[in-house]
Amino acid sequence: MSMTTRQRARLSRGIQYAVLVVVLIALVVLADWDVLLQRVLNPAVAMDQFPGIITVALKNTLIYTVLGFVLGLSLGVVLALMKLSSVAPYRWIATLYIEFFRGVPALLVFLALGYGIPLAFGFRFNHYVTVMIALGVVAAAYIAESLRAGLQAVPPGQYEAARSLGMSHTRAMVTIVIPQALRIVLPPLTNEVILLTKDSSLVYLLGMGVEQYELTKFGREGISSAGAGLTPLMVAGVCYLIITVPLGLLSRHFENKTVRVKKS
Amino acid sequence: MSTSAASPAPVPGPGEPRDSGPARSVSENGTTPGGGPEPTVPPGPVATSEAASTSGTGPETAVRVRGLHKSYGELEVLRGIDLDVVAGEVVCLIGPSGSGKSTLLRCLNLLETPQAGSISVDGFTVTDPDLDVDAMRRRVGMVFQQFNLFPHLSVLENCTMAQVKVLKRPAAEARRVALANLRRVGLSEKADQRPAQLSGGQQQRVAIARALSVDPDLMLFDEPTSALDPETVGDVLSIMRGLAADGMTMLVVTHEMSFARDVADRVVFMDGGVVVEQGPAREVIGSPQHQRTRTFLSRVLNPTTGAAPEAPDTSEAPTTPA
Ligand SMILES: Nc1ncnc2c1ncn2[C@@H]1O[C@H](COP(=O)(O)OP(=O)(O)OP(=O)(O)O)[C@@H](O)[C@H]1O
Ligand SMILES: [Mg+2]
Repeated sequence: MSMTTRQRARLSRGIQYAVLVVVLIALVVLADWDVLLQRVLNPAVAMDQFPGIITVALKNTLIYTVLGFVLGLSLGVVLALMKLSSVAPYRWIATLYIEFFRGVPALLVFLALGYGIPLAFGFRFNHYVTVMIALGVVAAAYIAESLRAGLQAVPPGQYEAARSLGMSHTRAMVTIVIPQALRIVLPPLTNEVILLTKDSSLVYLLGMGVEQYELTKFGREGISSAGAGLTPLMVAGVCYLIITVPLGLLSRHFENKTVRVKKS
Repeated sequence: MSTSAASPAPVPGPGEPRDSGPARSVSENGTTPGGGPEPTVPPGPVATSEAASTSGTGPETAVRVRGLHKSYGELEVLRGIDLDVVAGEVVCLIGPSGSGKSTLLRCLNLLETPQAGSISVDGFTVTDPDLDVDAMRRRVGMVFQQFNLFPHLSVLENCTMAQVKVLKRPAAEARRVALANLRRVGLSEKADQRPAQLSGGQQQRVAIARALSVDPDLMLFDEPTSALDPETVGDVLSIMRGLAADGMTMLVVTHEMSFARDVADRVVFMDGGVVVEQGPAREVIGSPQHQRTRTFLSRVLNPTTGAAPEAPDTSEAPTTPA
């Protein structure tokens, strides 16, 4: 009843540790570790995933991600500039685009490109082009917003100081404003690559040949062979982490850097 | 093109009837533009010498403003400004907050576009739509209240960037000029640091060196010491004194009355978007003719006496540096 704040905090922490210990003991005692390991992380099955998981699946995931990012960045730059344009219709178009593609599921876009368009027009893009467009048009919407925010975060005094020194508009943008905006934009752009890496799993929906499998599809095919259990999906998951965790650290690194520049 | 600016010297061409109102109240004051210690410059000959764009002969007009109007939407910020600055002259622009001092300065190098009136700066007709804006700005240095140094570049690069990219100077020469100007402001040993590593006063001195590095004929200062800690104000002001002594043409918006009194050839007092009074520094600050000028000066000069109801203005008290 009459506990001090510190006593109450200590009690609460004690309870949390107790729960943890109980759960751990229960896991150790009750779980059948042999079966679990064999079904979830079976070393033999894991070895079977190689080398295809790397030479085909990981490679294709990277290819799809890069394709999506290249289109997303190019389109994103155009959209960001449209959004900042002094011509109002450009701003409207850009806003409409961005709101649309940020608001609909990426799955829908994949279905539209992979099945909708072929059914409606009897015409099918090359597999890689389909993936590039499906990933790129959605990424562009997010990237455009990051770029716009980055450009607007550079104080107007920077542009004015550059122009006052006799720099042209383009020169001031290229040497003064954009380098500063890039610093601001690097963390969100890195995060966008992480999202793209994971979204590239949507390629799973499209019909494709074995040599076009990416990590998710590869893992899905892996678990259908007899006795494979969950292991192929676990290996695919680890492969995603190999890409996304370093990118996350990189993004954090950029973030700390910009914070330091801003603070000082 | 340039003749159009030369002809309507006495009365602004496109002005409405209201224009002449405030403009006349200025001249009625007895302190005609250019009536400082320098020989008075009649408008006519100046216009022709400007058209011929001769350099270095006699007192040239560095800045010439006639009937300048600027509004933001409904808000009329500048209501018919006439102003002349002769080459080599130091003019201080004083006035209460919101009187349009910054706006006037920013119109001179077209950071703001005026709605009416004519401006010529250093032989460029600024209000000419065919003006080469960048060429004009190269001749006009600007120092901002917030310094606006480029944070992603070193102190040295801040001073070389425009030289290399705009004037196309070779890197070695740009570096030499930049270091000379940094030495002039006493900061050559900070050349390799980032602006963020410097104090406010040091940053403002770098900003002055940066502006000087493109060899301007005219320097505009917009409250260069207002964002500084009191103990660093003196350093910046003494740099500006040195510049003035070296014959730089300077137009300085400031609340530092001791600087204005000691350094300025002429003081211009603005209020409500018009020039209320101007003349030699000692006359305007020592014995102001207009009630508005007197009220303003008493608030700025004696911020602690009961006469000042507004507390925030105390920060503008002159801090006599030495
Ligand atoms: N970009 C802008 N848009 C709208 N109004 C503006 C803009 N810039 C300035 N103003 C207004 O114009 C008026 C004059 O501003 P200005 O900055 O020229 O005054 P000032 O004399 O420099 O004042 P201070 O001593 O506070 O710097 C103010 O009322 C201000 O709010
Ligand atoms: Mg101002």
